[in-house]
Amino acid sequence: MTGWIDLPPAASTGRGSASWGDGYVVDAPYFEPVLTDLSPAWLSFLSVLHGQPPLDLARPLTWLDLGAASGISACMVAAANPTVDVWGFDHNPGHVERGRGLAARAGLANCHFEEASFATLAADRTIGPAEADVIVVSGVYSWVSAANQGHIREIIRQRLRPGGLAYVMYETAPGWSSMVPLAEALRLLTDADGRRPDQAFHDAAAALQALAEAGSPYFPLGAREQVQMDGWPDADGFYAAHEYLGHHFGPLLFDDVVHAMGEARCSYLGQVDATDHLAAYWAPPAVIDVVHGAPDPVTRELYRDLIGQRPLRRDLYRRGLQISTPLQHQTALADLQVVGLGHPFRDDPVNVVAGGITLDPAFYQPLLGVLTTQRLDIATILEIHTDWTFLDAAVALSLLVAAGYAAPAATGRPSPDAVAACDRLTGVLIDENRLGADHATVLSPVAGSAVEVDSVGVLALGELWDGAAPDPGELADRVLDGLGHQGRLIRHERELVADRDTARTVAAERTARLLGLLGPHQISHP
Amino acid sequence: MRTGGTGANPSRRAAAEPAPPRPDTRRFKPELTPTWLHLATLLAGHEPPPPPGSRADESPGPTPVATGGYRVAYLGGGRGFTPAVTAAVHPDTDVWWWDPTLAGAEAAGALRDAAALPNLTVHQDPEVHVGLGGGPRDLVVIDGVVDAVDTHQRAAVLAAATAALRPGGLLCVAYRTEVGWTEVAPVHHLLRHLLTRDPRPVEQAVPDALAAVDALHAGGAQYLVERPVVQAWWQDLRARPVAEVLEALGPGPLRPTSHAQVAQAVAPAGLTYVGPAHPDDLSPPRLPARLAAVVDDQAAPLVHEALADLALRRAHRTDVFRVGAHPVSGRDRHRRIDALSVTGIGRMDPADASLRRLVAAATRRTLTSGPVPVADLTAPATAPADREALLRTLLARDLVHPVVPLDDRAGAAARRLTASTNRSPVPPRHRIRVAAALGSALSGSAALTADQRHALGAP
Repeated sequence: MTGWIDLPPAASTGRGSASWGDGYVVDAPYFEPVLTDLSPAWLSFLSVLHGQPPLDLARPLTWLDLGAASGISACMVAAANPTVDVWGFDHNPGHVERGRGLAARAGLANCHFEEASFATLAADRTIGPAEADVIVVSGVYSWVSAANQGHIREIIRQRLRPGGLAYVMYETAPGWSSMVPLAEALRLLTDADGRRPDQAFHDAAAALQALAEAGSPYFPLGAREQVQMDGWPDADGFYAAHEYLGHHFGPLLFDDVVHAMGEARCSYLGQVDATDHLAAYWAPPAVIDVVHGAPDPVTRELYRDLIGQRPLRRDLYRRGLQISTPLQHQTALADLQVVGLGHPFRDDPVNVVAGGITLDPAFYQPLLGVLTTQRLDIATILEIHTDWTFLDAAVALSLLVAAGYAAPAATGRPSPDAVAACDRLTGVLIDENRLGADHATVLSPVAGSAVEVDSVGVLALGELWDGAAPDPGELADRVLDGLGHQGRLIRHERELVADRDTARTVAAERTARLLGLLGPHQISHP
Repeated sequence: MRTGGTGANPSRRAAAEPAPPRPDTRRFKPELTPTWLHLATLLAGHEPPPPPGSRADESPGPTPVATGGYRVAYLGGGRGFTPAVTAAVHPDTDVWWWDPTLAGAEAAGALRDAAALPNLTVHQDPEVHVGLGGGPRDLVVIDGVVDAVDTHQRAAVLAAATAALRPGGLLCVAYRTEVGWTEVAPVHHLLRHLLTRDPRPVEQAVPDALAAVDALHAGGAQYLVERPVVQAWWQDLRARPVAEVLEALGPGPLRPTSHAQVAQAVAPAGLTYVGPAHPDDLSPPRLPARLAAVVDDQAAPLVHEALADLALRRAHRTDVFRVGAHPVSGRDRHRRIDALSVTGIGRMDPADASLRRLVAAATRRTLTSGPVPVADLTAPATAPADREALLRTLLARDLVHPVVPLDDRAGAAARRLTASTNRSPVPPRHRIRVAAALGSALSGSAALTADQRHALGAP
């Protein structure tokens, strides 16, 4: 559920305006979704799971986003963490304008956006903060040139404090390799087309579909890539432009990235995934011994990427490693807290490379019950399951996060400033959804990040704030009425729902979850 | 004509089961000689440079060549057989050869000394030497290299090559394509990673590296078991002995590239794409009609080539570029092609019905005894375009090769080089027979008549 906003055709400038883009698509804006796990609380939580100390969340931190796109994740961090100094850098002035506008409308004085290329930032340390505790690189690294990848690493080398965390997300060859020639063909086709890339994408995709249907031996693609290609006819042009049409689309391999990050004096901790520290789930049983027998962590990760055809890596790095005693590590684990996300217990397994981890409801439903009213930590889990070990409880805590039942909690009670800032930014998102955007998250000062509620939930929160009763049916009606006046429909399982009764049922279900999140433990309800 | 190894362009076989991409492990590549590249340029409708030996020395470089003035540089190519052959058959041509690997340079240096080739300069350095030995070059050939380095190094190699060319000069770039190799690359990368981190001699490390990937395969690693091309490549590799596995993995990383990337990198220097040089690509691709319609619907040259590669699943390309466009009119092209002399170099199987239809019996007999003008390959009334199509087919099937004026020094150098290249421990599949009259070399196992050997100056 991303926040794509249609631009009128009149906004088209063709491809001529993109000459300054250094191969990156800059003539079609990118409105990315909020990425909650970029928050300091999430990254600190994962650092502890991977055996390293947490970020010192009690002191003012600096959080830096390289390639901040439209800045919504930066604004999330700034709103939910008013003591964090947040900086977003982007080469695209359209993105910077959007980020600054969002921050200004939400009154986020601690959120700054600057228009600067990676080369400029690497060469001029006076732009932005001299040091940062967290640097995130999301949706950028495998889409820019090798030279810009070098600039990114140089910025991290210069500015990440010892003990700081770097998040680097990139597409990986085992999940994308057969797409590489097609992405180039798409780019060549859209270049030859002359229209703006998001407008030209679908005709280009149709040409390649025709090639496949005519029997080209290049097809079918690898299973993961084929799913992507099958989705092209319905793909959002803006997303597709940024995904495929940059001149430097190039899925990477883990060892290349980890060695390059070594130049920035950063060490690999693990994936931004709450199950990644659980070695038993690194691979299916038939091949787990091979993975455990890998001669080094880099080889192990290369194995794992091939085993699962991993399409995307979200690597967490640390500037310098600490050797902790088992007791120190246990203390850090004991300090971890999570907050509930309002989901009832489901039978769905937690997806990992090994397949799925099934959570036993006898064990986990009591934990979800606690999460409806308070934070959860290892000590609380051990009070509920008295026969569990400390390690059992730590695993349960991480599985609750991995399954989407819980999110890492911010330290302490949220400040009034945080609550107010989150409300302001959530209000901006509500207003934008009422004008046709598709934001699917609301801010959570308790989590220090945001909570996904889908776009109907965002609109329902707006109705609540406008005085509607906290009743799912009434909220659903008000949301549907508002959409109906604009000639809009809600979507369920990718299909538009035209029938009012069905739409009401769907909207009421979503609204009910929102209502469960309201209150002091999660979403603010002023 | 392709000498040993697996030189045929395997990607041209469009079958239900994907053919594995195979490395081109030939030590000598006839399509990379000046003789062949000039012909490919003319066939593509562009003006080739004046051939070796046809021009007075006009080089202003610091090391002027004695006569002729033709200057060629080779970048990459392993053991240097192709530059050595060029140096032998064109004694007045200045041949400068660079390779990033120490082993390749040492082998080529030894070959040059053993065959006494004073016009061959061997340069070894991890980085390509800007200027390529000084002076403008008529021809620069990049054999691999750009498919084994990162994008930064690729740009440096292509920039050095384009900067060294004289106006009208040719650039030939042979590389593994992304279309053919992109899916194989992660497994290739893993194997190289395992070999690199193993402290033992690489020959000893290979079995364990292969066993590790076998274990992943047996355990159901999705990337290895769900991708037909990866499966086929892995089975092909596992069937090879250790020495061939190493040869197949190559001396460097596998970083395949594409026509668009190469063409766009050299375009700022004024180079335009001329056409393909690989024999397989000289005759029109045999695409099914529906596929051909999709490809031919694309007017933009880069798009056309990209879609053609996808349509053929082409694993290797040998692209020829020219500094400055100089098209040759169709009529002039046919006139000049008709005036070329070619000679038979392969056995024309009398039982081959398709060949009987293509070439008259008398012509087949003539081709086995010496050079024949292209104009004489067909009856006089045959349309020039049909004769050209025949020539392309014969070239693609390794049945004929253009001939060049024979010179005694070239003949002597060819004999020395043949003897040097075939000394033990060169595996039989890599043995060659340098043929001065071809400006090239033949496979050591090529079946030639006594007349042919004499006519070709091929011992």
